[in-house]
Amino acid sequence: MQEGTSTTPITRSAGRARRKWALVGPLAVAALSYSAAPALAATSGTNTATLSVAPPPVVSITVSPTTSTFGNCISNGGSTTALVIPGGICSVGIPNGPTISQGVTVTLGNEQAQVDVSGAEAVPSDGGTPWALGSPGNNTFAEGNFTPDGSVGILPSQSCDLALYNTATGALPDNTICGTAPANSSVDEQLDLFAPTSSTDTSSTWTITTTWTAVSA
Amino acid sequence: MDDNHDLDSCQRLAMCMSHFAGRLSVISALAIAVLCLWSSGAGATVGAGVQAAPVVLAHPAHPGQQNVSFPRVYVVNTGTQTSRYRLRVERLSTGNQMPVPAGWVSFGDEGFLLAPHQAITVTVSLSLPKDAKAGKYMTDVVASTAPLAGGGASEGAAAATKLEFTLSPLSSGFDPLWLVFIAIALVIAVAGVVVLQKRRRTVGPGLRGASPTSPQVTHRQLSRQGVGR
Repeated sequence: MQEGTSTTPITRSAGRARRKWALVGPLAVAALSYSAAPALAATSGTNTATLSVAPPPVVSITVSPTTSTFGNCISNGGSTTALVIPGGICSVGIPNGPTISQGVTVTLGNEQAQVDVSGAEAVPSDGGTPWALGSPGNNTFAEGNFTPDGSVGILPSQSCDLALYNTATGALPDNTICGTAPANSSVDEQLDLFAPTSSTDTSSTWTITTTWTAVSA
Repeated sequence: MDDNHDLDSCQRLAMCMSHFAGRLSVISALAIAVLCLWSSGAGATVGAGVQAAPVVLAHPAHPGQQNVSFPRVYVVNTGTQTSRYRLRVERLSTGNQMPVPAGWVSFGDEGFLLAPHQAITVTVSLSLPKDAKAGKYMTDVVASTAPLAGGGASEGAAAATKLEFTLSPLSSGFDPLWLVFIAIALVIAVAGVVVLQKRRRTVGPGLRGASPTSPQVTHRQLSRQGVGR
């Protein structure tokens, strides 16, 4: 019992010493590592590299010119200098053999796509009553696009541009099935405007917007 | 309208000339004038482009979920003049998927200016009503140039790419992680029952051997063993 009591303190102190070293040892290593770290950092450098990432494949379209004038007007079989209401027709572009001259050039980008065309109401310069797009009527005009290979009536909603499709794909003029046009297709189109039967607004200048949309295939 | 266009071209030419005239020789200024005329003349185009790859939601959405983020959509001005663009959703592509009501999809920026060949990526998010039907949905993201005023024919360009997502029938508040929690709870409950049964078996024989008058044995335990009946 005495032996036991005498040996116990020695064992405890030895355990404490071991624990102490167990604590001090890692701390010393940590301290050394910390002090060594700046030295290591001093030998390292920074490299800034610039990386250019290619843009994603894009379905796109371009239209030119951005604005044009309806001309080449006719009424009752004769040419006129401006749109005659009712019954008058004016155009952007004129047929020139197998193509259209001075028309609107529509060009697809590097991806194939269906090209839709849509129109909007005609807006008078005085901000008065517009003309709706539809069949000619009171305050309602009609619009169509044309190539020697096809034509289509333009609506307020999107519809496949058959004139562009037939020309771009070499389809026959009587083809009525419209779809995807090849990449980089470029077609000159004629726009035709058919006068309303009557107009409330008497402005002499009107704006007619036509939009071509490339729809990803 | 041609008059307006010519005026615009002349204005641009004047700006170009005044900018450079003080610094360069007459010959250089003339060369720049030619370049200005070339860049602002009848060859000007209006253009629009969007990424060809569809904008797809990686995981199924749930009815009632709000502000679910799609990957950003890439829009580029492919024309030669600065244009204002508008973003909208409109079903243009054909397919069996259900159409997407326009009110479900919103853009971080619905209208913006882009210089020639400048591109932008725009955030797209989806907010669904609680009664939205499960299934596959599809619409198109359309980036279109804003119409120009001024009389005559105004040409516009637009480009569209598909936007697709799947709507699963799970309610918006349900998180699949709950399935894991429920499974863990079931395992714990079964384990608890097994442990309780084992304890009863261990305690049972001791009770049977105990005296009915022992204070450690409760009336209920005695009743279970049929003692006193």
